[in-house]
Amino acid sequence: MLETRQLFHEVPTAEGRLAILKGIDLNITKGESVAIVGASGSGKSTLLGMIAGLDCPSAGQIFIDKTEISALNEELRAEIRQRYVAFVFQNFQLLNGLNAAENVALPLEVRGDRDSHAKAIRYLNRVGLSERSKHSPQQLSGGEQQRVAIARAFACEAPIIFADEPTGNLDAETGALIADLLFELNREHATTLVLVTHSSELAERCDRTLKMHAGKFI
Amino acid sequence: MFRLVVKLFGKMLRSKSFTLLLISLAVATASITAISIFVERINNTLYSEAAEFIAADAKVQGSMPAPQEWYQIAKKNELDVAQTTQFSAMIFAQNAMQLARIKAVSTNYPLRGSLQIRDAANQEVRIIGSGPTVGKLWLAPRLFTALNIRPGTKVKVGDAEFIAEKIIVQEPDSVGSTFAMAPRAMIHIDDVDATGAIQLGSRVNHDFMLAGDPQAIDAAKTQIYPQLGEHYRWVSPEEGSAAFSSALDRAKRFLLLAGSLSVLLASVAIALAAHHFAAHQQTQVALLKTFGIGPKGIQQFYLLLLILTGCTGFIFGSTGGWLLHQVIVALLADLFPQDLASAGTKPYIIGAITCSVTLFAFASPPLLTLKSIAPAQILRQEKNKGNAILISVVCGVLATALLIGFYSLDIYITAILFGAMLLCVAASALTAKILLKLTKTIQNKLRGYWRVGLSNLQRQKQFTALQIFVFASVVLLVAVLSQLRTSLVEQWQPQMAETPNHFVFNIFHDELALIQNTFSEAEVNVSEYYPMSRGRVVKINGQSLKERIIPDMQRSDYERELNLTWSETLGKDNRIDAGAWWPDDRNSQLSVSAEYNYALGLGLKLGDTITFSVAGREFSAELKSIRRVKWDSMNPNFYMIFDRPIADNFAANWITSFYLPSSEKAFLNKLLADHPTISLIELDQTIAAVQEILNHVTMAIEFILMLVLGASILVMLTSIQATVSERRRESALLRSFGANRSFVQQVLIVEFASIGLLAGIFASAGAEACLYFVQVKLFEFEPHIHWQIWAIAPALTTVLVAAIGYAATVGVTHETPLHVLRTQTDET
Ligand SMILES: Nc1ncnc2c1ncn2[C@@H]1O[C@H](COP(=O)(O)OP(=O)(O)OP(=O)(O)O)[C@@H](O)[C@H]1O
Ligand SMILES: [Mg+2]
Repeated sequence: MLETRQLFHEVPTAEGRLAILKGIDLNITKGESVAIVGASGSGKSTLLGMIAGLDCPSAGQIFIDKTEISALNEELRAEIRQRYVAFVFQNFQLLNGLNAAENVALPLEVRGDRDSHAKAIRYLNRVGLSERSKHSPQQLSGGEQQRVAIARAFACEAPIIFADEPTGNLDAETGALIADLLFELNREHATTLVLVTHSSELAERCDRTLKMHAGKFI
Repeated sequence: MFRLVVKLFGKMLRSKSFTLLLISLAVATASITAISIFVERINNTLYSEAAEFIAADAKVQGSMPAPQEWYQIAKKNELDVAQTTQFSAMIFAQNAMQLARIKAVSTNYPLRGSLQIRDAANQEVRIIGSGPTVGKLWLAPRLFTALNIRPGTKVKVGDAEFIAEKIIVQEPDSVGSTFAMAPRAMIHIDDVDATGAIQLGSRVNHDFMLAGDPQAIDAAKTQIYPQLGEHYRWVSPEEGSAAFSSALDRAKRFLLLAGSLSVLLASVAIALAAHHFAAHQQTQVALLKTFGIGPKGIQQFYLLLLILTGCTGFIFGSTGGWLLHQVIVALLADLFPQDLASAGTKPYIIGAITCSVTLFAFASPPLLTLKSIAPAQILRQEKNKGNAILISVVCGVLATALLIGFYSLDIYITAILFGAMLLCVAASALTAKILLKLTKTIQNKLRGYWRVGLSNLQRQKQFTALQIFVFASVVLLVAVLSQLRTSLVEQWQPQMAETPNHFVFNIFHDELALIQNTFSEAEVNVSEYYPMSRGRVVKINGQSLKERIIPDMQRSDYERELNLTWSETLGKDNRIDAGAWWPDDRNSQLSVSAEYNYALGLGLKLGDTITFSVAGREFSAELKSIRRVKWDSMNPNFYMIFDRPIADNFAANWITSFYLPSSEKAFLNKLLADHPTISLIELDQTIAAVQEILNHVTMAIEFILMLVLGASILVMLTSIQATVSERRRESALLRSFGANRSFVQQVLIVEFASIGLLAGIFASAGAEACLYFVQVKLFEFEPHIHWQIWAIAPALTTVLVAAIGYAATVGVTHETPLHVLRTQTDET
């Protein structure tokens, strides 16, 4: 389902080029759940974005469902994302102009889903925010915002969910609830799950844990 | 996609930056539409008022009656036709007789304007739309006195008998060319033959007058013009009189300029709002991309959004513009003619074009470059810097030049404004580089809010440069416009008081001393006396005019007879543009000085040998100087002035002009009684009418200046508003670090005041450059340094920008930092 070969990534900075990913080989099969862990700044978020097709590596190949997305142009990569990818961002990225339900419905609108609103409400219910669907992100707490972001990813009903610290801002109880939900989807629809987390509990529930250090798996 | 756009459009209306974009677009469109409607209506009204000066929309003056063919042309073009014939004849009363200029008019004369008459000396003035019927004679009041008759008396004109019926108070086309004699008596054209006054060789003028649709007039003009030859001349309302047309021309130019400037202001407002809006769209774009929309989709999305915005902006803008202009008209109702001409659809088309062009030129670069934002950008909070500002400045400057060109249809205006804009852009860009570096050095030596305030400018170099550019151009435009207004109004002021309003000519040399005596006895203020001969230019450097001028529409203007004079001294209202006035040691070669526009039209250069024909005699003179002439001084002025007599002094006719208040009109009777052979033109009514038009124009100019001023304050507000959210976040952060409220406020003041100061300095420089070109080249004023601008603009801009900026952002300091930071994560 998801494969990388010798993934390298460098960015230009004031002190020259900074290598963030230094040769990542990865193979994730359909329905598998994988946790990526590692110290802050080790390159987890960068890798996650890369394999989700949000960015292009400096070198190496990325395959999603046998398509080499690293060789595609932005237009075609967008199509792949639409078909395969749902993403939970570390910093949520909710739009302030829209309320919770509208935020959740937005990717559905993009996909041309006529049923977007009902679906959005349904997924908000599942993350326990049915009361808050009309609230704007500014009116929600950090944890609530995170749950809206998760509901948005779920609503996409995409084959692969990428989640960057999905429970980072949540108390243990709510965190466990969200994790339940993630794995439920993983089981029900054979959704592939790729998580970045600092929580060992969450990592343990995954089929596999990959440990990163300074841009490499160890 | 469309569904999504419409849905998000509704949401965006709630976001501040988008609302700002929409409002600036609507305000821009509204002010342009309002100015256009207003200008158009004033313009149309001025045109129809000008038409009254020649009593028609156009006419052909000739020494022979118009050929029958022209009547057919007029008929084909569905034009109304009238004709007049003017000649001199003796009027005989019981025991007096008087030579008068008779104007015979057809039944539908005048085609434009109306006649003012009295039925008797003690009766009210009546306004009527047609001249005397067959057998009736209407006379100027002075003729009644001179002939010692009253309305109703029988008199004879030449061989025919008439009833002196009415007193003519005013006729629309009493002006004509300045040196044609004003008619004083009017009969019906069918009576001309009966008078027997027109003999072979008598000087007769025939006017063939046309009125109707402007397009039809143009069509008729193109057909008739080639046939004019030597005997006819085409006269349009603008040419009705030199003074009038130059005033009208300046007014039009000013209104066009003001219109163009409002386009500039509009563009600036839109550019700012769009840039701000685009900056806040980056998160949304990155997010939409992670949802799987490709660059093309993003492009389409924003294109649709732009179109939707444009339509909305236009609907609000044109409605607003119409309302705005209604308010103006209502406010100034008693100052404008009751029946202000309608504006037609042109202003709305201008509004629509301006709306779409500015929107696409200024808003699309930042918005349509959003497509290249990497979706990965969502992972980090970096902002895409890109070169959207550069693109939109380049794009915007070009588009504005295009718009101004389209709007004013004047290459000169366009070039000047375009140059001024470029100057501002260059200066601002340079500032971004140099001055900001300088502030960096200064800033390192500073403490506290000075340091933070100046470093804020540094941090957002591009935006600061943009803002300086915006303020500089706004102040520049306002400075240029208000200076121009002052010059224009001052220019017209001298026409108010004591401007000569009568011309006397045909003064024979031996009568000159007597006349001078009469004037000084009556204490009448007389301008110079000039000898005058009529003649024409026949050759230039041995080349005939026919070969020299392409046979276009202008030639007949140069082939016709001119009034020539000679003088030792240069008139006060003349200014040497090239060459020099007569040196003291003159050589034997006859020298001549030509008027600027005349020389331009004939392509004359200093040193050219010009051959004249005067009274059948040909002689040549060398062109020694080219003069600019203030025709509206109402002094006698000439296209050609020689350095010595070209005819025997005793054979010359002398001309002068003088001022006479209406209360002393009786003096004219004495003058004419003492010197029956002189000719007199009364221009007082014309001057009063010109004055009234100038008053309207001044009003219009002042009003438009006010509109532009309002628009510019709006631009300033928009520009500062665009930074409010940024500053809210900044000052909240500063306060969360422990800065107190007054520190934050002082940071804001330092920041805005420095922007204002820089902008004010650039604006002064730009305005000076701009004014030089506009005033000297466009309006033909004397060039001078506008020290007032240098004194006022930088100081005023500093205070104003600091005040507006402070007022707009001070609220920031009253919110708690927590609240601000919480609600300011990222605006969409
Ligand atoms: N575009 C970029 N420009 C400069 N540095 C970058 C860029 N992208 C990533 N980095 C650097 O690469 C490193 C890895 O970043 P990344 O966000 O992947 O870390 P992470 O493992 O997710 O950390 P955390 O657990 O704190 O979220 C960091 O040191 C970061 O500063
Ligand atoms: Mg991370």
